[in-house]
Amino acid sequence: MKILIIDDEPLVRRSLERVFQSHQHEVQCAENGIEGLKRWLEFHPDLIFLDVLMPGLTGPEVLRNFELESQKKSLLSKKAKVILMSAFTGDKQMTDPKGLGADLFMAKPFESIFSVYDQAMELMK
Amino acid sequence: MLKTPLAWVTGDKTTEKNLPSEAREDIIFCTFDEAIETIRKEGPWGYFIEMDHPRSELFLKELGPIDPDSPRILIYNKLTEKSLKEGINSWKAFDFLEKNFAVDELMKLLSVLREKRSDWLTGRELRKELSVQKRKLEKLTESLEKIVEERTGHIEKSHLEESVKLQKERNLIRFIKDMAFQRSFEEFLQILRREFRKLHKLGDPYLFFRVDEKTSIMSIENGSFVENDLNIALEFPENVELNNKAFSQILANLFGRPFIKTILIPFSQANSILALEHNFNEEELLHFQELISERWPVMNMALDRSQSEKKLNLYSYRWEKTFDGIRDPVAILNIDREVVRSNKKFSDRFVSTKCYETFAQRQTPCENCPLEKSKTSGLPESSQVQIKGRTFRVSSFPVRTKLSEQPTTFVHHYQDVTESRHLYLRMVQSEKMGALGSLAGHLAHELNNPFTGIRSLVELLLKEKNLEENLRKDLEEIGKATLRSQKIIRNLIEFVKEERGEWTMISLDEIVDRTLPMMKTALRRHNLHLDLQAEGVQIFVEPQLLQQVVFNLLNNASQAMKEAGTVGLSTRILADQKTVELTLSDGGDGIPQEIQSRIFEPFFTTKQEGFGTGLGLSLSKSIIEKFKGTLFFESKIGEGTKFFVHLPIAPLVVENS
Repeated sequence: MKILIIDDEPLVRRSLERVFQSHQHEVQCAENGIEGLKRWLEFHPDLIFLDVLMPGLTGPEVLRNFELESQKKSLLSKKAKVILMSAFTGDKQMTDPKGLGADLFMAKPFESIFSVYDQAMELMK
Repeated sequence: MLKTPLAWVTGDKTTEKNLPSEAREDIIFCTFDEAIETIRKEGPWGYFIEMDHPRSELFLKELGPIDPDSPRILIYNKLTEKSLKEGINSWKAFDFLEKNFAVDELMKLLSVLREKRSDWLTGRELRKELSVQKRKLEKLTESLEKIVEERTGHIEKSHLEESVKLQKERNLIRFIKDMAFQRSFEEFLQILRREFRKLHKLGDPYLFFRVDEKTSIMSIENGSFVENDLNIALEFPENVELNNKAFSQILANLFGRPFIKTILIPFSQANSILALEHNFNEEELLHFQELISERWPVMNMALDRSQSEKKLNLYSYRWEKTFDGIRDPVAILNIDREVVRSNKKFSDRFVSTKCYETFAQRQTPCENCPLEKSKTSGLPESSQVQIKGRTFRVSSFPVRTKLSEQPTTFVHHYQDVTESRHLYLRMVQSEKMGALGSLAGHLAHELNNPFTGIRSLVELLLKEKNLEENLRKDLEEIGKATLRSQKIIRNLIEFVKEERGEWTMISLDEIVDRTLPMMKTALRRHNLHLDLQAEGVQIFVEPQLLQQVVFNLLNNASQAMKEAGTVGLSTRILADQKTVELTLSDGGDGIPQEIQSRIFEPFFTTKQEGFGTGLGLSLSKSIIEKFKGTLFFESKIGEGTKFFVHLPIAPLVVENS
């Protein structure tokens, strides 16, 4: 499975990368929205971890831009699943991931990195 | 011949022949009948009377009163002792003769008589004159007496009239005086009652009174004043009227007996009617009307006065009610701050003292009192004054009778702004908190990210095989510390979260648990002695606000001790099982007595400039009071201070999930 991690926090990228690599998945990382969008278009990931608050482009902006780009290039391959992550708890706009074009919402801090892996696998079934 | 002869009264005139001619010159003979005739005219000046004649005595009786003093010579047949006695005593005899007298004897007598004649005559004239004069005098006296009598009668009559008139005037004057001093309708009626009681045949006075289309009737019943409102439209006559049916009917209905003969007297442009029941006959009625007409102007004036006084009373009553009805304390002060008038809110009792003694219970004027400023500027001034632990906005309005002069009277209006002041401070505080909230939000985000990474990595590393035991322990510690940090951040977010007025059930111990981690720094110099005995006891509060209170109290406690000391924090359920108590003690210097009463005042602070806002305790108190609790303290100099928070335990609610 190809996994893309877009987060400005190196420790978050590193831990997610480690847990998926340890399960023999192919992982790529991006440290901001712009880079993330570029990788998304090139790498064709199956699953994307997308942080909400980032310098450059925010998570939801990345999602909108990808939509636009993929339409432009009529490059509609297999649709990737998106997990939105935010450290802002109780933020209203984050309670409805579907409305934002994402598939799942995860609050930071994670309960545990392993439960994140389990949730991701559940989503990809 | 003598001009006036002597008369010889005889029965037969035969004696005449026996008399010498010499004697006859002076004597005329006449019968008794003739003699009676003569004495009635200018009679003879003396008489010879033959006493043997049966009519002689009768003649003498006749003669007596007419000519009492003329000489009488009585002629008896025989002179006896008896006849002499009788002649002298009864008939005033001058001399006696026997019937067969000697001529000489007669002549001698005649000469005596002649000698005496002029005397007799003069005497007689004098007597005559005297009697005339006397009669005249008598007449005069009589007429004089008549005149005197007449005059006396007149005087007596006029005297009586005068006194009656005087009495009348006196009565009128007294009535006027009484009326002039009367102050109310009641007194008016009492005076009339007293006045009319003297007249009898007159009942009690009733006063019909109309003001603003409302008619009422006033009377004195059993000695006390009664006023009844009438719900009937009643036409008031403009002139005196007798036996008005409408009025009689109303009186009969009101007093439960018939009113037959009544008299109505209109007053005050027919705005009031005096109704009287009477039993006068026509003459008495006229008399009474006269009495009334004399008194009418006085009564009218008195009624007008009562009416305006009643109105004045009403206005004064309204003014007083308005004054007292003002929710805020208001006082009228003189220049020496003595209370001239005040409303009930200012003082229940009317005591003429200084405003600060009555209202603030102080011995000196309040600090910041606007009166001086207002006195100088002559304009309304206001300022905030602390009175009995509350904050008042005191406005001083100067009253000047003359523009040029300094004001001598001030109207002070006290507006309790403690609540709004608190609200304002709370607003300031929540704005601060809001700013802090967004700051904390960013901070939380910035920190949560690395913490998430740290924890995840630690978790991953701990899964590594062949992990050295020391490393494992280190990693575990890193993981715990990260978790703790995340919890602090979560609490911070909770604490400053912008959601307000969110009441929830929470336990006091939970609040303490949430607050303590944030206080670590503040408390690090001191030793915290924690004793939580109220686990799970629910209270219904806004948790962030209560956290603020605990935060404030902890902060104050730690700052109260310059040296390292012990801060005690305990919770427990009070004996009444309805209250939960939080106690926070410090081992500081204690709060000096003189500022103890002020520490809950907003902006009151003992801290250095820039170190405290002076809002903490004031806000804390208002927050606790908002939760229906109490906040108080005990302080001993040199030993420390203990703050107590009492909060009601929320009744157990059955959750319907």
